[in-house]
Amino acid sequence: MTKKFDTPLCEVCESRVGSIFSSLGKDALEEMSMQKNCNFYKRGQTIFYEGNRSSGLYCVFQGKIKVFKLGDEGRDQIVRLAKKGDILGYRALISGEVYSASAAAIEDCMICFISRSLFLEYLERFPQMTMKVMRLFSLDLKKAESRLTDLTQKPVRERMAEAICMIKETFGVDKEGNIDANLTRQEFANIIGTTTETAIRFLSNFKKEKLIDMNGRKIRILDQGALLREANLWD
Amino acid sequence: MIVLQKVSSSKFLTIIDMKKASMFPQCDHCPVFRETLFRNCPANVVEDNIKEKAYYTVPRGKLLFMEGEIACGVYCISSGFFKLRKKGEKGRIHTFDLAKAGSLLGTHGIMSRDSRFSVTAVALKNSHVCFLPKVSFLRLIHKFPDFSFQMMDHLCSQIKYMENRTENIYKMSHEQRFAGTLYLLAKRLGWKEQDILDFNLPKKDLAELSGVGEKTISRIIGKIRENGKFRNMAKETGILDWDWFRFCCL
Repeated sequence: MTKKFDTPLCEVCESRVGSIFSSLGKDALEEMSMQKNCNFYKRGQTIFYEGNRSSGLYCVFQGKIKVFKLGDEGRDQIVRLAKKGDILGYRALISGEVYSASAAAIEDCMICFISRSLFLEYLERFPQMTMKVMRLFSLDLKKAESRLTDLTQKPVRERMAEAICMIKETFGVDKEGNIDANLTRQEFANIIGTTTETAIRFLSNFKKEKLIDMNGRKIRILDQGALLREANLWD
Repeated sequence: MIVLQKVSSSKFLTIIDMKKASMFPQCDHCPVFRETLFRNCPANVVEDNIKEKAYYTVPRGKLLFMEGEIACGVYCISSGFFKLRKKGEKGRIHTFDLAKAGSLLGTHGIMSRDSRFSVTAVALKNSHVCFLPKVSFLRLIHKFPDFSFQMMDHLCSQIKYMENRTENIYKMSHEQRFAGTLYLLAKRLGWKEQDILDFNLPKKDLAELSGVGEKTISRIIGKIRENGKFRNMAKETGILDWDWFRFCCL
Protein backbone atom coordinates (compact mmCIF):
# COMPACT_ATOMS: atom_id res chain seq x y z
CA MET A 1 0.00 0.00 0.00
CA THR A 2 3.01 2.32 -0.09
CA LYS A 3 3.63 4.92 -2.75
CA LYS A 4 6.97 5.90 -4.24
CA PHE A 5 8.00 9.45 -3.37
CA ASP A 6 11.00 11.43 -2.19
CA THR A 7 11.87 11.02 1.49
CA PRO A 8 11.60 14.45 3.17
CA LEU A 9 14.85 15.82 4.61
CA CYS A 10 15.02 16.46 8.36
CA GLU A 11 17.20 19.57 7.98
CA VAL A 12 14.52 21.40 5.99
CA CYS A 13 11.47 19.89 7.72
CA GLU A 14 9.15 22.61 9.05
CA SER A 15 7.70 20.25 11.66
CA ARG A 16 11.10 20.01 13.38
CA VAL A 17 10.62 23.39 15.11
CA GLY A 18 9.37 22.69 18.61
CA SER A 19 9.87 18.93 18.29
CA ILE A 20 12.39 16.78 20.18
CA PHE A 21 14.79 17.17 17.23
CA SER A 22 14.82 20.99 17.37
CA SER A 23 18.09 21.08 19.33
CA LEU A 24 20.03 18.95 16.82
CA GLY A 25 22.69 20.53 14.61
CA LYS A 26 22.84 20.42 10.80
CA ASP A 27 25.29 17.48 10.68
CA ALA A 28 23.20 15.34 13.03
CA LEU A 29 20.06 16.09 11.01
CA GLU A 30 21.74 15.22 7.72
CA GLU A 31 22.92 11.94 9.23
CA MET A 32 19.36 11.23 10.34
CA SER A 33 17.98 12.04 6.87
CA MET A 34 20.40 9.51 5.39
CA GLN A 35 19.38 6.73 7.74
CA LYS A 36 15.61 7.12 8.11
CA ASN A 37 12.76 5.89 5.92
CA CYS A 38 9.46 7.52 5.03
CA ASN A 39 6.22 5.64 4.31
CA PHE A 40 2.84 6.59 2.92
CA TYR A 41 -0.26 5.30 4.74
CA LYS A 42 -3.77 5.42 3.37
CA ARG A 43 -6.74 6.49 5.52
CA GLY A 44 -7.64 3.70 7.94
CA GLN A 45 -4.33 1.87 7.48
CA THR A 46 -2.68 0.66 10.69
CA ILE A 47 0.78 2.05 11.45
CA PHE A 48 1.56 -0.24 14.38
CA TYR A 49 -0.38 -2.77 16.43
CA GLU A 50 -0.95 -2.98 20.20
CA GLY A 51 1.12 -5.83 21.66
CA ASN A 52 3.86 -5.76 18.99
CA ARG A 53 7.51 -5.04 19.75
CA SER A 54 8.81 -1.62 18.79
CA SER A 55 11.58 -1.40 16.22
CA GLY A 56 11.76 2.36 15.90
CA LEU A 57 10.23 5.78 16.18
CA TYR A 58 7.51 7.24 13.94
CA CYS A 59 7.57 10.96 13.15
CA VAL A 60 4.49 12.38 11.40
CA PHE A 61 5.48 14.44 8.35
CA GLN A 62 1.95 14.90 7.07
CA GLY A 63 -1.56 13.78 8.04
CA LYS A 64 -3.54 12.86 11.14
CA ILE A 65 -3.37 9.71 13.25
CA LYS A 66 -5.39 8.18 16.07
CA VAL A 67 -3.72 6.12 18.79
CA PHE A 68 -6.19 3.68 20.35
CA LYS A 69 -6.54 0.69 22.61
CA LEU A 70 -8.57 -2.24 21.40
CA GLY A 71 -11.81 -2.68 23.31
CA ASP A 72 -14.67 -5.13 23.38
CA GLU A 73 -17.30 -5.15 20.60
CA GLY A 74 -15.54 -2.44 18.61
CA ARG A 75 -15.57 0.01 21.52
CA ASP A 76 -11.98 1.10 21.06
CA GLN A 77 -10.60 3.77 23.31
CA ILE A 78 -8.78 6.60 21.57
CA VAL A 79 -5.97 7.65 23.87
CA ARG A 80 -4.34 10.26 21.71
CA LEU A 81 -4.56 12.12 18.40
CA ALA A 82 -1.38 12.97 16.52
CA LYS A 83 -0.73 15.50 13.79
CA LYS A 84 2.13 16.83 11.64
CA GLY A 85 5.34 17.11 13.69
CA ASP A 86 4.26 14.70 16.47
CA ILE A 87 6.17 11.52 17.26
CA LEU A 88 4.67 8.10 17.92
CA GLY A 89 5.86 4.90 19.56
CA TYR A 90 8.53 6.53 21.74
CA ARG A 91 7.34 5.00 25.00
CA ALA A 92 7.54 1.40 23.80
CA LEU A 93 10.90 2.21 22.27
CA ILE A 94 12.45 3.52 25.47
CA SER A 95 10.83 1.15 27.95
CA GLY A 96 11.56 -1.85 25.70
CA GLU A 97 8.00 -3.07 26.22
CA VAL A 98 5.39 -3.89 23.60
CA TYR A 99 3.14 -1.15 22.17
CA SER A 100 0.40 -0.35 24.67
CA ALA A 101 -1.88 0.92 21.87
CA SER A 102 -2.34 0.72 18.11
CA ALA A 103 -2.04 3.63 15.69
CA ALA A 104 -4.06 4.13 12.49
CA ALA A 105 -4.24 6.91 9.91
CA ILE A 106 -7.37 9.10 10.12
CA GLU A 107 -6.45 10.52 6.71
CA ASP A 108 -3.70 9.83 4.15
CA CYS A 109 -0.37 10.28 5.93
CA MET A 110 3.37 10.42 5.32
CA ILE A 111 5.33 9.14 8.31
CA CYS A 112 9.10 9.01 8.77
CA PHE A 113 10.58 6.02 10.56
CA ILE A 114 13.79 6.22 12.64
CA SER A 115 15.31 2.94 13.74
CA ARG A 116 15.56 2.06 17.42
CA SER A 117 19.37 1.88 17.40
CA LEU A 118 19.71 5.29 15.76
CA PHE A 119 17.27 6.95 18.14
CA LEU A 120 18.91 5.48 21.25
CA GLU A 121 22.33 6.47 19.91
CA TYR A 122 21.09 10.07 19.47
CA LEU A 123 19.70 10.09 23.01
CA GLU A 124 23.13 9.18 24.33
CA ARG A 125 24.97 11.62 22.09
CA PHE A 126 22.69 14.61 22.62
CA PRO A 127 21.63 15.21 26.27
CA GLN A 128 19.49 18.20 25.20
CA MET A 129 17.38 15.86 23.10
CA THR A 130 17.05 13.55 26.13
CA MET A 131 15.68 16.45 28.16
CA LYS A 132 13.15 17.21 25.43
CA VAL A 133 12.01 13.58 25.40
CA MET A 134 11.60 13.72 29.19
CA ARG A 135 9.55 16.92 28.85
CA LEU A 136 7.36 15.07 26.38
CA PHE A 137 6.88 12.22 28.86
CA SER A 138 6.02 14.70 31.61
CA LEU A 139 3.41 16.31 29.40
CA ASP A 140 1.96 12.90 28.52
CA LEU A 141 1.83 11.97 32.19
CA LYS A 142 0.01 15.19 33.08
CA LYS A 143 -2.50 14.57 30.30
CA ALA A 144 -3.01 10.97 31.46
CA GLU A 145 -3.65 12.15 35.04
CA SER A 146 -6.16 14.74 33.88
CA ARG A 147 -7.89 12.23 31.63
CA LEU A 148 -8.25 9.76 34.49
CA THR A 149 -9.69 12.43 36.78
CA ASP A 150 -12.02 13.69 34.04
CA LEU A 151 -13.30 10.21 33.29
CA THR A 152 -14.19 9.57 36.92
CA GLN A 153 -15.73 12.96 37.58
CA LYS A 154 -16.92 14.72 34.42
CA PRO A 155 -20.33 13.94 32.98
CA VAL A 156 -20.52 12.89 29.32
CA ARG A 157 -21.81 16.31 28.17
CA GLU A 158 -18.74 18.07 29.63
CA ARG A 159 -16.41 15.43 28.20
CA MET A 160 -17.94 15.85 24.74
CA ALA A 161 -17.58 19.66 24.89
CA GLU A 162 -13.97 19.25 26.02
CA ALA A 163 -13.25 16.72 23.27
CA ILE A 164 -14.51 19.10 20.56
CA CYS A 165 -12.32 21.92 21.95
CA MET A 166 -9.33 19.54 22.22
CA ILE A 167 -9.74 18.27 18.64
CA LYS A 168 -9.96 21.84 17.35
CA GLU A 169 -6.83 22.75 19.34
CA THR A 170 -4.97 19.70 17.96
CA PHE A 171 -5.95 19.86 14.29
CA GLY A 172 -7.05 23.47 13.79
CA VAL A 173 -9.69 24.64 11.31
CA ASP A 174 -9.90 24.54 7.50
CA LYS A 175 -10.64 27.48 5.17
CA GLU A 176 -14.39 27.19 5.78
CA GLY A 177 -13.96 27.32 9.55
CA ASN A 178 -14.72 23.61 10.10
CA ILE A 179 -12.55 21.57 12.46
CA ASP A 180 -9.89 20.06 10.24
CA ALA A 181 -10.51 16.44 11.33
CA ASN A 182 -12.67 13.87 9.62
CA LEU A 183 -13.75 11.92 12.70
CA THR A 184 -16.69 9.52 12.74
CA ARG A 185 -19.32 9.59 15.51
CA GLN A 186 -17.89 6.29 16.76
CA GLU A 187 -14.43 7.85 16.99
CA PHE A 188 -15.92 10.72 19.03
CA ALA A 189 -17.51 8.14 21.34
CA ASN A 190 -14.18 6.33 21.68
CA ILE A 191 -12.40 9.53 22.67
CA ILE A 192 -14.78 10.38 25.50
CA GLY A 193 -15.46 6.80 26.61
CA THR A 194 -19.15 6.40 25.82
CA THR A 195 -21.41 4.67 23.32
CA THR A 196 -21.91 5.92 19.76
CA GLU A 197 -25.61 6.59 20.45
CA THR A 198 -24.79 8.82 23.42
CA ALA A 199 -22.13 10.68 21.42
CA ILE A 200 -24.65 11.33 18.62
CA ARG A 201 -27.24 12.56 21.14
CA PHE A 202 -24.87 15.07 22.74
CA LEU A 203 -23.56 16.32 19.39
CA SER A 204 -27.18 16.87 18.28
CA ASN A 205 -27.92 18.71 21.54
CA PHE A 206 -24.96 21.02 20.96
CA LYS A 207 -26.22 21.66 17.44
CA LYS A 208 -29.74 22.48 18.70
CA GLU A 209 -28.24 24.84 21.28
CA LYS A 210 -26.27 26.49 18.44
CA LEU A 211 -22.92 25.78 20.05
CA ILE A 212 -21.73 23.88 16.98
CA ASP A 213 -22.84 23.29 13.42
CA MET A 214 -22.57 19.86 11.76
CA ASN A 215 -22.56 18.87 8.14
CA GLY A 216 -21.79 15.16 7.88
CA ARG A 217 -18.43 14.67 9.55
CA LYS A 218 -17.59 18.37 9.35
CA ILE A 219 -18.02 20.21 12.63
CA ARG A 220 -17.82 23.98 13.07
CA ILE A 221 -17.73 25.66 16.45
CA LEU A 222 -20.26 28.53 16.54
CA ASP A 223 -19.85 29.68 20.13
CA GLN A 224 -16.37 28.88 21.43
CA GLY A 225 -16.89 30.63 24.78
CA ALA A 226 -20.10 28.75 25.56
CA LEU A 227 -18.51 25.44 24.55
CA LEU A 228 -15.55 26.10 26.82
CA ARG A 229 -17.95 26.91 29.66
CA GLU A 230 -19.80 23.64 28.97
CA ALA A 231 -16.47 21.82 29.11
CA ASN A 232 -15.60 23.59 32.36
CA LEU A 233 -12.43 24.92 30.76
CA TRP A 234 -11.12 28.43 30.94
CA ASP A 235 -11.05 30.52 27.80
CA MET B 1 21.60 22.81 54.24
CA ILE B 2 19.32 24.60 51.82
CA VAL B 3 16.02 25.70 53.30
CA LEU B 4 13.04 25.05 51.04
CA GLN B 5 11.93 28.25 49.38
CA LYS B 6 8.30 27.27 49.45
CA VAL B 7 8.41 26.67 53.19
CA SER B 8 9.57 30.23 53.68
CA SER B 9 6.79 31.47 51.41
CA SER B 10 3.87 32.58 53.56
CA LYS B 11 1.45 31.10 51.01
CA PHE B 12 2.49 27.60 51.85
CA LEU B 13 3.35 28.00 55.51
CA THR B 14 -0.02 26.68 56.55
CA ILE B 15 0.10 23.77 54.12
CA ILE B 16 3.39 22.23 55.07
CA ASP B 17 4.20 21.70 58.66
CA MET B 18 7.43 19.84 58.27
CA LYS B 19 10.03 19.42 60.95
CA LYS B 20 13.69 18.99 60.34
CA ALA B 21 14.77 15.58 61.50
CA SER B 22 17.55 15.27 64.03
CA MET B 23 19.35 12.66 61.93
CA PHE B 24 20.35 13.62 58.41
CA PRO B 25 20.47 10.35 56.44
CA GLN B 26 23.13 9.70 53.81
CA CYS B 27 22.21 7.92 50.57
CA ASP B 28 24.80 5.19 51.16
CA HIS B 29 23.13 4.35 54.50
CA CYS B 30 19.56 4.67 53.23
CA PRO B 31 17.65 1.38 53.74
CA VAL B 32 15.50 2.00 50.64
CA PHE B 33 18.28 3.21 48.31
CA ARG B 34 18.10 -0.03 46.28
CA GLU B 35 14.40 0.61 45.63
CA THR B 36 14.87 4.15 44.32
CA LEU B 37 15.57 5.30 40.78
CA PHE B 38 19.13 6.06 41.89
CA ARG B 39 19.86 2.36 42.47
CA ASN B 40 22.13 2.05 39.42
CA CYS B 41 24.26 5.04 40.44
CA PRO B 42 26.88 4.67 43.19
CA ALA B 43 25.37 6.01 46.44
CA ASN B 44 28.41 8.17 47.22
CA VAL B 45 28.23 9.77 43.74
CA VAL B 46 24.54 10.59 44.25
CA GLU B 47 25.37 12.04 47.65
CA ASP B 48 28.20 14.16 46.17
CA ASN B 49 25.99 15.49 43.41
CA ILE B 50 23.06 16.33 45.65
CA LYS B 51 24.82 18.14 48.45
CA GLU B 52 21.99 20.61 48.91
CA LYS B 53 19.59 17.85 49.92
CA ALA B 54 17.20 18.42 52.83
CA TYR B 55 15.39 15.94 55.05
CA TYR B 56 11.91 16.41 56.49
CA THR B 57 9.25 14.71 58.52
CA VAL B 58 5.74 15.07 57.16
CA PRO B 59 3.04 14.37 59.76
CA ARG B 60 0.05 12.22 58.80
CA GLY B 61 -2.59 14.11 56.81
CA LYS B 62 -0.26 17.01 55.90
CA LEU B 63 0.52 18.02 52.34
CA LEU B 64 4.01 17.48 50.95
CA PHE B 65 3.29 19.56 47.88
CA MET B 66 0.21 20.92 46.21
CA GLU B 67 -1.16 20.83 42.68
CA GLY B 68 -0.23 24.02 40.80
CA GLU B 69 2.62 24.90 43.15
CA ILE B 70 6.02 25.71 41.57
CA ALA B 71 8.22 22.59 41.62
CA CYS B 72 11.56 23.50 43.22
CA GLY B 73 12.72 19.89 43.30
CA VAL B 74 11.76 16.27 43.82
CA TYR B 75 11.00 14.29 46.98
CA CYS B 76 12.40 10.84 47.67
CA ILE B 77 10.30 8.97 50.26
CA SER B 78 12.58 7.60 52.95
CA SER B 79 9.76 6.07 55.00
CA GLY B 80 5.97 6.19 55.06
CA PHE B 81 3.16 6.34 52.52
CA PHE B 82 1.65 9.10 50.43
CA LYS B 83 -1.50 9.38 48.40
CA LEU B 84 -1.44 11.37 45.18
CA ARG B 85 -4.57 13.25 44.27
CA LYS B 86 -5.84 15.74 41.80
CA LYS B 87 -8.60 18.31 42.00
CA GLY B 88 -11.32 17.70 39.46
CA GLU B 89 -14.21 19.86 38.39
CA LYS B 90 -16.15 21.73 41.08
CA GLY B 91 -13.38 21.03 43.58
CA ARG B 92 -13.95 17.29 43.77
CA ILE B 93 -10.82 15.40 44.76
CA HIS B 94 -9.69 12.27 42.94
CA THR B 95 -7.04 10.06 44.54
CA PHE B 96 -5.43 8.12 41.73
CA ASP B 97 -2.18 6.68 43.08
CA LEU B 98 -0.26 5.70 46.18
CA ALA B 99 3.46 5.88 46.85
CA LYS B 100 5.64 4.08 49.37
CA ALA B 101 9.24 4.36 50.60
CA GLY B 102 11.72 4.47 47.72
CA SER B 103 9.34 6.32 45.37
CA LEU B 104 10.35 9.62 43.84
CA LEU B 105 7.59 12.24 43.83
CA GLY B 106 7.31 15.36 41.70
CA THR B 107 9.60 14.25 38.87
CA HIS B 108 7.29 15.28 36.05
CA GLY B 109 6.61 18.57 37.82
CA ILE B 110 10.22 19.70 37.43
CA MET B 111 10.50 18.29 33.91
CA SER B 112 7.44 20.04 32.57
CA ARG B 113 7.58 23.34 30.76
CA ASP B 114 5.61 25.23 33.42
CA SER B 115 7.64 23.66 36.29
CA ARG B 116 4.55 23.11 38.41
CA PHE B 117 3.30 20.06 40.28
CA SER B 118 0.30 18.53 38.55
CA VAL B 119 -0.84 16.62 41.65
CA THR B 120 -1.06 16.97 45.43
CA ALA B 121 0.82 14.57 47.73
CA VAL B 122 -0.65 13.88 51.19
CA ALA B 123 1.03 11.78 53.90
CA LEU B 124 -1.03 8.74 54.89
CA LYS B 125 1.05 8.30 58.02
CA ASN B 126 4.03 10.07 59.59
CA SER B 127 6.58 9.95 56.81
CA HIS B 128 10.14 11.03 56.09
CA VAL B 129 11.28 12.50 52.80
CA CYS B 130 14.50 13.76 51.27
CA PHE B 131 14.17 16.90 49.18
CA LEU B 132 16.47 17.10 46.16
CA PRO B 133 16.64 20.55 44.54
CA LYS B 134 15.77 20.78 40.85
CA VAL B 135 19.22 22.01 39.78
CA SER B 136 21.01 19.13 41.50
CA PHE B 137 18.56 16.59 40.13
CA LEU B 138 18.90 17.86 36.56
CA ARG B 139 22.69 17.87 36.97
CA LEU B 140 22.50 14.19 37.86
CA ILE B 141 20.44 13.51 34.72
CA HIS B 142 22.96 15.34 32.54
CA LYS B 143 25.95 13.59 34.13
CA PHE B 144 24.65 10.04 34.04
CA PRO B 145 22.99 8.84 30.80
CA ASP B 146 22.03 5.59 32.56
CA PHE B 147 20.11 7.56 35.15
CA SER B 148 18.37 9.61 32.46
CA PHE B 149 17.24 6.36 30.79
CA GLN B 150 16.05 5.11 34.17
CA MET B 151 14.06 8.33 34.56
CA MET B 152 12.50 7.97 31.12
CA ASP B 153 11.63 4.37 31.91
CA HIS B 154 10.01 5.49 35.17
CA LEU B 155 7.93 8.15 33.39
CA CYS B 156 6.89 5.55 30.78
CA SER B 157 5.70 3.14 33.45
CA GLN B 158 3.78 5.94 35.19
CA ILE B 159 2.01 6.87 31.94
CA LYS B 160 1.22 3.22 31.30
CA TYR B 161 -0.23 2.89 34.79
CA MET B 162 -2.45 5.95 34.25
CA GLU B 163 -3.66 4.67 30.90
CA ASN B 164 -4.40 1.22 32.30
CA ARG B 165 -6.42 2.74 35.11
CA THR B 166 -8.31 4.91 32.64
CA GLU B 167 -9.01 1.85 30.52
CA ASN B 168 -10.21 -0.07 33.60
CA ILE B 169 -12.60 2.68 34.61
CA TYR B 170 -13.80 2.79 31.02
CA LYS B 171 -14.75 -0.86 30.79
CA MET B 172 -14.89 -2.43 34.27
CA SER B 173 -17.85 -2.80 36.60
CA HIS B 174 -17.80 -1.06 39.99
CA GLU B 175 -16.96 -4.34 41.74
CA GLN B 176 -14.05 -4.97 39.40
CA ARG B 177 -12.79 -1.43 39.96
CA PHE B 178 -12.86 -2.00 43.72
CA ALA B 179 -10.91 -5.25 43.29
CA GLY B 180 -8.45 -3.28 41.16
CA THR B 181 -8.04 -0.79 44.00
CA LEU B 182 -7.24 -3.60 46.43
CA TYR B 183 -4.71 -4.91 43.93
CA LEU B 184 -3.17 -1.44 43.76
CA LEU B 185 -3.01 -1.24 47.56
CA ALA B 186 -1.28 -4.62 47.69
CA LYS B 187 1.15 -3.72 44.93
CA ARG B 188 2.00 -0.24 46.13
CA LEU B 189 1.90 -0.67 49.89
CA GLY B 190 2.55 -4.40 50.37
CA TRP B 191 1.27 -7.14 52.69
CA LYS B 192 1.43 -7.19 56.48
CA GLU B 193 0.95 -10.94 56.66
CA GLN B 194 -0.59 -13.49 54.36
CA ASP B 195 -3.74 -12.13 52.72
CA ILE B 196 -3.80 -9.04 54.94
CA LEU B 197 -2.94 -5.68 53.38
CA ASP B 198 -0.32 -3.60 55.11
CA PHE B 199 -2.47 -0.53 55.15
CA ASN B 200 -6.10 0.27 55.71
CA LEU B 201 -7.62 3.17 53.84
CA PRO B 202 -10.88 4.90 54.76
CA LYS B 203 -13.89 4.32 52.49
CA LYS B 204 -13.58 7.85 51.10
CA ASP B 205 -10.08 7.09 49.75
CA LEU B 206 -11.16 3.66 48.47
CA ALA B 207 -14.03 5.36 46.63
CA GLU B 208 -11.73 8.01 45.13
CA LEU B 209 -9.22 5.37 44.02
CA SER B 210 -11.96 3.22 42.49
CA GLY B 211 -13.61 6.15 40.74
CA VAL B 212 -17.01 5.45 42.30
CA GLY B 213 -19.14 7.14 44.94
CA GLU B 214 -18.66 6.55 48.68
CA LYS B 215 -22.14 5.01 49.02
CA THR B 216 -21.43 2.62 46.15
CA ILE B 217 -18.20 1.51 47.84
CA SER B 218 -20.06 0.83 51.08
CA ARG B 219 -22.59 -1.25 49.14
CA ILE B 220 -19.87 -3.21 47.31
CA ILE B 221 -17.91 -3.84 50.52
CA GLY B 222 -21.09 -5.05 52.25
CA LYS B 223 -21.95 -7.34 49.36
CA ILE B 224 -18.57 -8.98 48.91
CA ARG B 225 -17.98 -9.23 52.66
CA GLU B 226 -21.24 -11.13 52.98
CA ASN B 227 -20.08 -13.46 50.21
CA GLY B 228 -16.90 -14.12 52.17
CA LYS B 229 -14.60 -12.83 49.44
CA PHE B 230 -13.12 -10.03 51.41
CA ARG B 231 -12.50 -9.07 55.04
CA ASN B 232 -12.65 -5.50 56.20
CA MET B 233 -12.21 -4.94 59.92
CA ALA B 234 -11.38 -1.89 61.98
CA LYS B 235 -7.65 -1.87 61.33
CA GLU B 236 -7.07 -4.35 58.56
CA THR B 237 -8.19 -5.29 55.11
CA GLY B 238 -7.80 -8.83 53.83
CA ILE B 239 -8.63 -10.82 50.75
CA LEU B 240 -10.24 -14.18 51.43
CA ASP B 241 -11.32 -15.35 47.99
CA TRP B 242 -8.31 -15.14 45.72
CA ASP B 243 -10.12 -16.64 42.72
CA TRP B 244 -12.57 -13.75 42.73
CA PHE B 245 -9.75 -11.25 43.22
CA ARG B 246 -7.71 -12.66 40.32
CA PHE B 247 -10.78 -12.83 38.11
CA CYS B 248 -11.50 -9.15 38.73
CA CYS B 249 -7.97 -7.83 38.38
CA LEU B 250 -5.88 -10.01 36.18
